[in-house]
Amino acid sequence: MSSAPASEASNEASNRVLVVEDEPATRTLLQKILTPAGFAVEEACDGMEGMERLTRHKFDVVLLDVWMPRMNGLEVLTELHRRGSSQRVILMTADHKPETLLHAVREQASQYISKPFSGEELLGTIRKVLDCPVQPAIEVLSAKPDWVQLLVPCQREVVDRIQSFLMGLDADLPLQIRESLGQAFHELLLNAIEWGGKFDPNLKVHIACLRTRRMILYRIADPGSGFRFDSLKHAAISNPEEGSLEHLKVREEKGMRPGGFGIMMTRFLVDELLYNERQNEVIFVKYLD
Amino acid sequence: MALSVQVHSQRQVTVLACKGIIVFGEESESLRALVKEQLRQHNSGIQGPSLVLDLSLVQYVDSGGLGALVGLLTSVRAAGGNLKLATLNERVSRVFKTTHLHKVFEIYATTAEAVNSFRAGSAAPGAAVQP
Repeated sequence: MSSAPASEASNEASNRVLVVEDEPATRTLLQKILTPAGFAVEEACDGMEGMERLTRHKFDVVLLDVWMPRMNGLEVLTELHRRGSSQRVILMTADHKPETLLHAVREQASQYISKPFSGEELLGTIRKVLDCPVQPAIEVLSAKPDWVQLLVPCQREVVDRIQSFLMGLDADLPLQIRESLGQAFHELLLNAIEWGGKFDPNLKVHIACLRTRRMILYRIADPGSGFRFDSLKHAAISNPEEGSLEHLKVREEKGMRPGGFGIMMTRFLVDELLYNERQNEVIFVKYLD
Repeated sequence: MALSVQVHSQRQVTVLACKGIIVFGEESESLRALVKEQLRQHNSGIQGPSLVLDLSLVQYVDSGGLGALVGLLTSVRAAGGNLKLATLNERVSRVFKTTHLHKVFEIYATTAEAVNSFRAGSAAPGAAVQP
């Protein structure tokens, strides 16, 4: 007996993918990954041809290279955004320059996948994008590589999406630091969206990421009324002793899903964790030296 | 990356080999559904199910995924069975240690050791070998 991912069970034969990539070898490789997985694949050898195809046909998702002749991938994204298109686009690149990633976020790319990637990674990313019914809009308030500020709607889907881009900005850091930052960011953003924003897409979470030579600082401000640590009986940090699961009883009584480990996990992942007085804003810091 | 689970039996122990990520949402729900199915199948028996989650190909578990795993452990133990974990990578192992859940679950370095532990009798939580 086995269980495949739920999304894999859907009829992928009906999903059309446009590959926009100037390297013939990469296009061939992508065909070899996507066609057996049931996707109908079309190819374009640069951004110009890609735009022509997108004007004439509908695609469920576009796999877009960045650096191509005639019209590059960033120009394609800008043009799609200018037209008000809601086309789902996955950016494929080995270019981790902050300017590139932030341009992609500003122009509403759906996801970012770092080259080289495995077939499994690619298919997982495509499924994630296809499973998202409506792509949450991300507003870029500041796109300076050392000072990024974003405004994102309180939707579950936004967490993976924004995480993929922001962690790309830290691609030069050691793996363990990137993992810790990614995990802390995931937990605290999910908390902000779930508890502060109640998953209401009309409410927004404010994210800032500041990077200096010696540290990375994230600030996440949610639209909720805040909380008090002494009222967090449903969180693992309130448990009286190590290894106790007292908080789970509280969660069960309140009809909450099992969980409540987020803040406890985060405390171990970062060097500083601070909340404001109302506790609807959190800052975490990771030192780099 | 989503979560896929391969289920097979070893010496009357059901091994659920997980691949991907266990996080809040669809991924942990699919695992919960599979374990519930195991509970349903053992419903008529005297003993609850003996389950091992092989996490060797699980890259990441978030707090929602941890909550789901604790929920599964509670359900399986309430049904008179047990659920043990095996082959956690360093990152996942760190998550269990920072949340003290390595004292709640029985965790084994290999799937074979986890399966054999059911024959030897259940160890107390926290007494298992840590990876």
